[in-house]
Amino acid sequence: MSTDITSAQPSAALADPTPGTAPRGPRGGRGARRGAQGRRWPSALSVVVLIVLLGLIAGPVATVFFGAFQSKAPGMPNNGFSLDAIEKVYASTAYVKSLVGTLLMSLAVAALSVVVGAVAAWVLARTDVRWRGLLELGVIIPLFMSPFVGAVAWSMLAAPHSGMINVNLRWMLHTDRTFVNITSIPGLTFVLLLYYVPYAYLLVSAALKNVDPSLEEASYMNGRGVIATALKVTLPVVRPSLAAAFFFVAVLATGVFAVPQVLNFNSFSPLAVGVYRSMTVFPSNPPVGAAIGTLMFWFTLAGIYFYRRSIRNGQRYVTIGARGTRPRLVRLGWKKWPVMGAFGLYGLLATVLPYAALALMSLTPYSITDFRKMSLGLDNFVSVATTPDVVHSFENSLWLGVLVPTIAVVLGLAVAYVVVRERGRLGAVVDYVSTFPIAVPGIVFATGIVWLYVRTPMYATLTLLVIALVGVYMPHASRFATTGLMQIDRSLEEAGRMSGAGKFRVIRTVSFPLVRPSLLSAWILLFVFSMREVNETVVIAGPNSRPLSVLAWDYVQAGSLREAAVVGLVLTLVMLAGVLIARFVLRVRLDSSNL
Amino acid sequence: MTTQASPEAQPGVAGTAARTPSGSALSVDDLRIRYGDVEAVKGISFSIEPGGFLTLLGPSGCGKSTTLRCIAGLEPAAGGTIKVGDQVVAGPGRAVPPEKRGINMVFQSYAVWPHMTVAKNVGYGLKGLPKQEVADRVEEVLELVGLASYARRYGTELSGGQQQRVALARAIVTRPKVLLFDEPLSNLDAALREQMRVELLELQRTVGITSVYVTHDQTEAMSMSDHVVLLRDGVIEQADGPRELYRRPRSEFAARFVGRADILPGRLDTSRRRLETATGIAVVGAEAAGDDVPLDAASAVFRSENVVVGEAAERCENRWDGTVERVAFLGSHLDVALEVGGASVRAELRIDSGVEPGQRVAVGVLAADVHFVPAAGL
Amino acid sequence: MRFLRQTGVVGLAAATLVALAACGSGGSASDSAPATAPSDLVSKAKSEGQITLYGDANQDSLQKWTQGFTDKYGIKVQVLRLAGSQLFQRFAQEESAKQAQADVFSVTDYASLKQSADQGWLAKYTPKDAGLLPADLGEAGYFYPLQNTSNQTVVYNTEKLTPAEIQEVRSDPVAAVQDPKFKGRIGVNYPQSSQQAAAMWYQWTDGSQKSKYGWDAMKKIAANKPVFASSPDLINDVISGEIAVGVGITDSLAAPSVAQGAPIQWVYPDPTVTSAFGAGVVSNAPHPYAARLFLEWATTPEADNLYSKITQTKPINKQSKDSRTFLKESWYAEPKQAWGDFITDKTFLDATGSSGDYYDTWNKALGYSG
Repeated sequence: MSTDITSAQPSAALADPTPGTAPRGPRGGRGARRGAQGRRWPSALSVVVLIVLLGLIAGPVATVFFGAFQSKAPGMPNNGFSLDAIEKVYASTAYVKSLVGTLLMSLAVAALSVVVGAVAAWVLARTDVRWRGLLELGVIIPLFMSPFVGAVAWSMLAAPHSGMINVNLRWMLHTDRTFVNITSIPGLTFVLLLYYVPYAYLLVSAALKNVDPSLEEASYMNGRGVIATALKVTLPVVRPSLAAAFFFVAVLATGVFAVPQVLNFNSFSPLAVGVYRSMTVFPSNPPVGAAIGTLMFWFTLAGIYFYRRSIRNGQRYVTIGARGTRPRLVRLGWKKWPVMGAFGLYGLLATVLPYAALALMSLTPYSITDFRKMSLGLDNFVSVATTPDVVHSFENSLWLGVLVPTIAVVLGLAVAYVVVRERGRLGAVVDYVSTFPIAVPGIVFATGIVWLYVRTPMYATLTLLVIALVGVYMPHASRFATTGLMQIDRSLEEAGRMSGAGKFRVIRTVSFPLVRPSLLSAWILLFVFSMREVNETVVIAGPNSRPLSVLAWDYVQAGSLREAAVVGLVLTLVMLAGVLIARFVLRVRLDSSNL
Repeated sequence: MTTQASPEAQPGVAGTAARTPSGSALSVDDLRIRYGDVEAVKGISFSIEPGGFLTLLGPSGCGKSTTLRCIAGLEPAAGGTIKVGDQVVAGPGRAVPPEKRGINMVFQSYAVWPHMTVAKNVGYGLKGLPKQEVADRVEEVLELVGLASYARRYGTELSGGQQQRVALARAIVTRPKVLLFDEPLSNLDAALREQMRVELLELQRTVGITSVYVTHDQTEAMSMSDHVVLLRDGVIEQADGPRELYRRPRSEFAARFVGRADILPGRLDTSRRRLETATGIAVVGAEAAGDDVPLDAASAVFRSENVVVGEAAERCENRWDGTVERVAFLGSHLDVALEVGGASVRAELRIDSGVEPGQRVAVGVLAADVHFVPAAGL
Repeated sequence: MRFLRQTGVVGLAAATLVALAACGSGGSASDSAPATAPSDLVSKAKSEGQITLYGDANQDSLQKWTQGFTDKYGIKVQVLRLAGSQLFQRFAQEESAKQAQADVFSVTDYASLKQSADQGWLAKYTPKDAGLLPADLGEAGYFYPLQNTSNQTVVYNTEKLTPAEIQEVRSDPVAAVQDPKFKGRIGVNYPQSSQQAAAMWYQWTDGSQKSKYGWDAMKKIAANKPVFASSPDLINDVISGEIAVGVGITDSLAAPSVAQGAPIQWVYPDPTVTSAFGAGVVSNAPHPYAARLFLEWATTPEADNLYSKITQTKPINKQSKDSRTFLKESWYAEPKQAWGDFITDKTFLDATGSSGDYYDTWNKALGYSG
């Protein structure tokens, strides 16, 4: 089918049937009514959705809180109530440095990501820069690499003594300087930045595309130039989206443990690494891990609060009706060369160099970073290919890549329907619960999942991985679905009801086909995420349910970095294949237009 | 009021119980709708006979669309009862879902599904019928709205007027017991709007479906309906036939909202036929003011087109001296603002009446054209 | 049509979930399996077709070694390799929840194995060749040592040190890493990474070498700004030249890289810390016969020879022969003394136990963020 959904109804925005003076709830915003009192009972759909969400999300989180008050991991013999872990984490100064360091680092990564992402989004949306599609791809493509694999590549490139950059520049320039140091605070921030810029870009770019172009045109008519217009009109209008992107990235960066762990980062111990170490390093102390998890939780929860508030503010400015006109494109002239140079630099740092390093690593027999001593061979590929686990892990990854996005998208659509269409008090609760998982750091959530399910037959199976990842990624799916659904005039669905169709027939025949582009975009994104995910899966996967990403992680942990590089490359190829199939067979684009 | 029977009113696929021929096709009793703590609709009641065409008229925010959506089942009612035929579709402890009410609706935005062809759009509500019958009915209805040749097009490939017809076809193909219109013409340009108004009315008369129409456009309300319910702030201001409403508005609000009215506030004498303004202008009416009009807070209402000047004023019971303040040429007539004893009076005059700003003229209104209403609260 | 396809996908997904859940619940344990090899062990094991081995040894080594078992019996071996304490944590959790995933459990940490045997998580089983193994390194009837003398070493990169520096490291590695000339060029394996590593540090700070090194030595090492890493990371750092000297790497971990031509050598501190990894059959193993067959195979001289060849560790079985290649290297010197009794040393176990403060003290002295 070839209908262009986004241009469906130019008049749709006018059609809000809410009477003009109908009181607006405290949430403000378009048609955001709450608590219509005539609705005596919540719909069956919303009750079912809420129960599923509570099971998926609240259960594991509650288990972590429970675990923090135990003397050993829940389910172990001789276990009992204990305040030791809580005291150690909350009532001593042991974790103050970690906490402060983690927060500062998350905020710095978030701020830088938003600046870079916003500038990139503005250039791509508002200037006549050439090769727009290619440049956008260049910004998004780091999503296809597992951040910890990227960290492996970067420690190969820029470790202070042995990194390829340092070693080779030294003999070329006859010096013994250290040029770059990836294990420092700036180094860690840099690697995290590379992998969070795409998120910020996608969120800001979507907002820029929704800005009514006449707002900017009016500024030009009033004699303001490009810079003044961008700063005085565009920036304030998309500010809520910038804030949303900021808090979103800050929360995600708080929960990442794989990157600092791989970089052997020791300037301070990020809290998420603290969780990981208390679960793994001898003598392990899972309750402390859980307690650190609860400590992180309060801050990420605050981040999510601000994130949600920003999203709501952002919706005030959305002008769905005005998409007909294109915004004026600023002519760059000679400036397009430095601008494209900047995109090129980003592509070099985030994509070209890491992949080149991975490729080299996968071909060397042991860690060789000096180009003069390179000896290459395919031994690592043979070693990986002959590992019996690889084929099995490959299958596991494919299962995850198919099941997780599919289930998450279906659930996300149901959540979006309840939140956007049914509203009411239960809708508000569903809305809150559904953004909750973003606030729970992956490794904490995964620990909760394991403790909760260890006594069930699902333990260590692929099913449990699917359950966990659906819980983790459901917020992304529901965000796509919510945005998609909000752009569909309610009367399109109401017309279905009026024609005698029940709620589920309307969802199936009207809502679903219309939000399909959004849902497919979500599907593709979640496909990539579930393929590369390691923060949760590493804790949950059993010996028979390890996906490729965990295999790569295990190689890293066992010091077999070159085998890890091979698996990392294979993983990227699989993701690319999936995305290409989606692009050319299903005609789904992974870009910002559906966010 | 037209009370023709509707020959097409056999139950459609969505229909349930057969309608009794005598009672109302739709009745709304003491309907209340709340948003949070605010009551948007505060207990309104009206009913329509089978085949009737009723308009809910009012300014934006008066609760007319909300009422319509409540009838449709798209909004919950906080109180009151809605009956379609004999079936209570909304009432205490009862809320029939919209798809089971046997009602269909034409939306302001048309709501033509962009991912379906015209034929699919129209046939959507005919689920469960044999394929051939669906095809026949779709074709029949598309024929009726003049879109037979567009059946395979997609919704987005049509013009506004064509989408409007698709929406209409989709709404009548299920043969609903009541058809609701939510400002269906407001997105069309002026010329098309006029044309669609005529077509729509013709179609309604042909098919004979009981209709409820929501608009803020008094011309639509006047020209189409046989019953107008004027709403203001969630209560019924006046419910009457269109002529009655125009001729005998019961309030200043009704007078102003429907047509152009001149309103002179003042005190009635005990005869209830003569009103004197604060500046001493006297206005007499042919009929005595109703009992609901307080003597000391009344307003005289007459229509601008009934105001005459110059010699024609000689024949009028009400004759005043006035000064021409402004004259605007509107093509079919002149819109003239007059100052009469400190009050402003608007008149629609023939274009050849030759009045000029500053000119002093005699102003006249027939007593039969004057009508008294309670003065709006001060 | 489209929606039919969509519902089809969802339906498929749901069906798969149910199927996967069903798979997970299968393969429950049987504790009635025999304590010695029955005559039909091989055929029963083959019909089970696979086992899962939990281990904390090097992933590559375990995989290559277990391939020998697969080649012989056609039974697949799934290896789950995690750091020792993480592995035990996981194993204990699974066993407590009656969710056995592992068929054979193997770690270096004797205490973990002992606790597993005491808790009844290891099945009573005596392989035929049990008598060929040293009795003091296992628990007869429960778990047996499969590898002897993996020793803690100090590894150095020959290209990153001058001959004089190499000489200094070789003569007393612990004294050398305190020398300011190695500032910024050393790395250490933290005691939290394994019990052996803890024992190595403990004997320098509080044990037999307390008077020679003590906590003062730690402060001097800290002043050299060492990199902190687990032993697999540390060996990579030494090989790549990221650091010149790495403290606390087992010879079994370093030897394969030497064989591949990496520019490294090692020296044993005196005394070094030595340990063996033991393995036992899990009591409610999903594949009880295959697990028993594996233990039978793993205790044969043949398997010991294979393991010794792969990992370059000293064989343990009375009938195997030592095929370590680095013995011939000119720089290689046997360890003089080795401490292996840390597994039963009460003061050490208390200091490094959950109520001891050894790790905190060490973190503070070395400036490690933990």
